[in-house]
Amino acid sequence: MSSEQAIVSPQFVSIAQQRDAARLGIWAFLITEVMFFGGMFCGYAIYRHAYPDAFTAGSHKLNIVLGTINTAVLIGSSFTMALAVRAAQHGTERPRAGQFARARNSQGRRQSLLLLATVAAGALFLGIKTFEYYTDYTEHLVPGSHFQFAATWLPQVELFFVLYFAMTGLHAVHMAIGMGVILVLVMRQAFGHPPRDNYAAIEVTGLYWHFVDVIWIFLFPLLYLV
Amino acid sequence: MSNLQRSIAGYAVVLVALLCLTAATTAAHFLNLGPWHLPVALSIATFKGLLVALFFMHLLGSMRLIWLSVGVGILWLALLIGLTLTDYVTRRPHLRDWSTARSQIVGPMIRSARLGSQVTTDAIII
Repeated sequence: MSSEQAIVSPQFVSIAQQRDAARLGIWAFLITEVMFFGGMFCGYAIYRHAYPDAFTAGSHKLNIVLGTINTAVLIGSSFTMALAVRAAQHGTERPRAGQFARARNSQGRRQSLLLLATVAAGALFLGIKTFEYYTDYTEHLVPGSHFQFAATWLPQVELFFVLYFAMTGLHAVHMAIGMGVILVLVMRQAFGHPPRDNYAAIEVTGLYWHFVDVIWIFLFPLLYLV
Repeated sequence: MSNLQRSIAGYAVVLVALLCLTAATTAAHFLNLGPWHLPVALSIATFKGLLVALFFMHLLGSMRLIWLSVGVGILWLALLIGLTLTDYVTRRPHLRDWSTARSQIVGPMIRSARLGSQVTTDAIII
């Protein structure tokens, strides 16, 4: 406990209060993110209601198998992230004096491995996504002068692809940022300079990562399974 | 906070449930559900999101202030999408373009009024 109290910032009464503040802070940020993505979901709802046939035609061009695999990959990464947060928690709550350093060390390694597994899953997701984007590009589905679609619905299908690229693109950017944050945490751990409150840092990063997962859980049926 | 909720086994159960629901979403897509297609897909997605929030994000066992924040966030999202859709969903196609509506409905009304003939009640109601 004494090692934990040493990392309480002066503006907080206790470690518990400091962590409650961190949690509330990240949740408030995530709610602004809900509104950020919400505008896009709202635009999607309007145009899907206006042009249902065009959205179905556009959606049929997407690869459902790759979409399903990517959903599973992302859910798997959320699982490893949850285990990493758990490992970090156990690392700070191990009180035995004699074995403390060693136990903490193995917990730290375990936590780093789980974080790296999360980043690896994220990289796999982005790799599959890049392959999908490349396929879309070769099939002339990227909106712009390059766009081609053999149907009477051409401008409406193009609108579907504008929404598809904007929503999955914004999601991919969020994933890349999350992977960057996780890698920084792993590096700091590896070089012996973990954050002042290591557990809070990992828990907050985990909340962000799970949130990005939830966004994809909604994007997948709305874009791939129209 | 019970031990099961944050145990490896507990997380594994949530993982398996999420993977099964993903398979169910894709399977439901190939069933011919007609008008139930979108509601079913969104219900499964909402349930999956709820599982992630409650167990992976530890919403279950979080302080009330966080529940309040999340609730207000969902309320704002519902207002954003819900109120916007009350507009778009209830628009009539023939009134979408006002200039067309004017030439088709108001124009004949004015012309017929000038001519001194009787305006049909249909045109006024629309």
